[in-house]
Amino acid sequence: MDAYTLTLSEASRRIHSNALSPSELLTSLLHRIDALEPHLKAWVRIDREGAMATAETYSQEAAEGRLRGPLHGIPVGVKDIFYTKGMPTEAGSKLLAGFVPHFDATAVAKLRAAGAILLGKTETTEFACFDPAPTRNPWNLEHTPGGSSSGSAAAVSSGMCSAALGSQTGGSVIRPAAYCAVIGLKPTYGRISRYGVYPVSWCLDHVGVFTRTVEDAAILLEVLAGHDPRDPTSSTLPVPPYTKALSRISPPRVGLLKEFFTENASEEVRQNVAETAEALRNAGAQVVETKLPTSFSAVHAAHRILMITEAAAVHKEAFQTRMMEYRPNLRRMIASGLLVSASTYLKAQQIRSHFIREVAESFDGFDCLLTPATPTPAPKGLKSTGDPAFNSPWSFCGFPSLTVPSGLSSDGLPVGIQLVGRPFDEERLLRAACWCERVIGFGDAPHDLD
Amino acid sequence: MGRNPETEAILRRLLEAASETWGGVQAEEMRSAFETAAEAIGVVEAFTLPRMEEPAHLPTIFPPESWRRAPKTGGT
Repeated sequence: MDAYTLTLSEASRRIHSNALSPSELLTSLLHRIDALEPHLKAWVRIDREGAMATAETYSQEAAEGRLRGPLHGIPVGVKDIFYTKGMPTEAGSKLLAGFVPHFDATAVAKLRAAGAILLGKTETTEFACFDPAPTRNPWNLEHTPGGSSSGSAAAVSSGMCSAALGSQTGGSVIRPAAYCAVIGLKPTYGRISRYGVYPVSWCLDHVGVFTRTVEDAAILLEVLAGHDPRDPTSSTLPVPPYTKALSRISPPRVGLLKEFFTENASEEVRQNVAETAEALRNAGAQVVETKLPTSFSAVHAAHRILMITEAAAVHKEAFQTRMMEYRPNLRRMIASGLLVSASTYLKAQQIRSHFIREVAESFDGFDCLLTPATPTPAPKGLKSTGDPAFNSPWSFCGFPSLTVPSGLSSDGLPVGIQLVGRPFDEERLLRAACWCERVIGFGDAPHDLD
Repeated sequence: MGRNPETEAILRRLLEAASETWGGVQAEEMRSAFETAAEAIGVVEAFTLPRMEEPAHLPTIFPPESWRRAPKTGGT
């Protein structure tokens, strides 16, 4: 078996038992990248020499039984809006061309401290907004991989790395993960530090992860979660042992959300969710239809107001002198955000308060809520990264969400379910997702492109 | 489906402000974003909150510990 096919947890087990060295793993991944990257364009840059040097050091350490942490020797990809010390961070924009941070984002620092090897930076839409990256979907090169974490999703899906960092303000983790048939986890707002991540919207931005299994997502979350005094929104709640939580899973109680999600999903997606819900029910889960709170009707509009207004605040200074250097979608978004009144912005925040309380009540009796992850499979073409409407409500309220691949469309494109959990109860969400993952048993992989 | 009069009025105000700031040509080039924004502003302003809500901000987003309460029955 080629090492690039290993999941994070399996590669880690082999490294810990000296059955695989970090250098062997990295070499396999680099061969994979050499074969696929010309087609997929998932990477902004690959730090081949730096990664090889680190892998050699870590291989030696592993051989001597000295392991830095749970990710010892695991190469990871990092979306190019995370600051990386000494490595350019350009956020998919000419405005940041050549910018080299002098420190690591907290999430990157935590990965390194746990023994991960920074393989390179993955493609993003401009400033993690709507102007697409050049990345293509590994399942069909004619289709978008989604965005804004386009490169991270494509890289994990195609076996160029087993894990990658992304971020979500609307649907930028869950949507590309679903389009590319990988696990995407967006934890609770405040669970992972945003320090050193170029902001889109301070009140909506979340750090998330891409992996190929739920277990791998739990491993990464355990490494990444925790208080960071440099991020004022970072939670002080203790970090539970997420991986241990997966050793005791049982059929979950699932609230199935229809209404908006059914009305706006394609027939194939609707059918996939119905079949998946039935399979979960047959395997022992309680799957009960439940209602959306009344304030859901204003959620997308209020999310839009918060996102455009805060993005305008982030970019206001540069926009005054470099407006035409922004790509068209972001330029228009910033301009519209600059014209939103303070009272409208605060009304949107009031709606957010109200929705958070209302949606929390929807969880009574359920371990998680279930929706389709996206309205359709990945759209054809690279001009759009798809529709985040099924994901942005959970970015708006900050509740954790996760996608699990649940099938393929008639065109062979992935479809996923989205599970939503209670705030700061990722343990319960991961257990439910792990159980669903086993029942669904999605085992397909993209056709080889090389 | 056409926009309602309130949304049309919001859009006009946005386009006027944009023309003053960036000129008429730029404002027109960015019209699609102002249309989307006008729709969103209209929905937000028309939404009736059932009670006076504190706008979400750091201390109100997730009041400590209360979120960790156990579910009413069983579970994973």
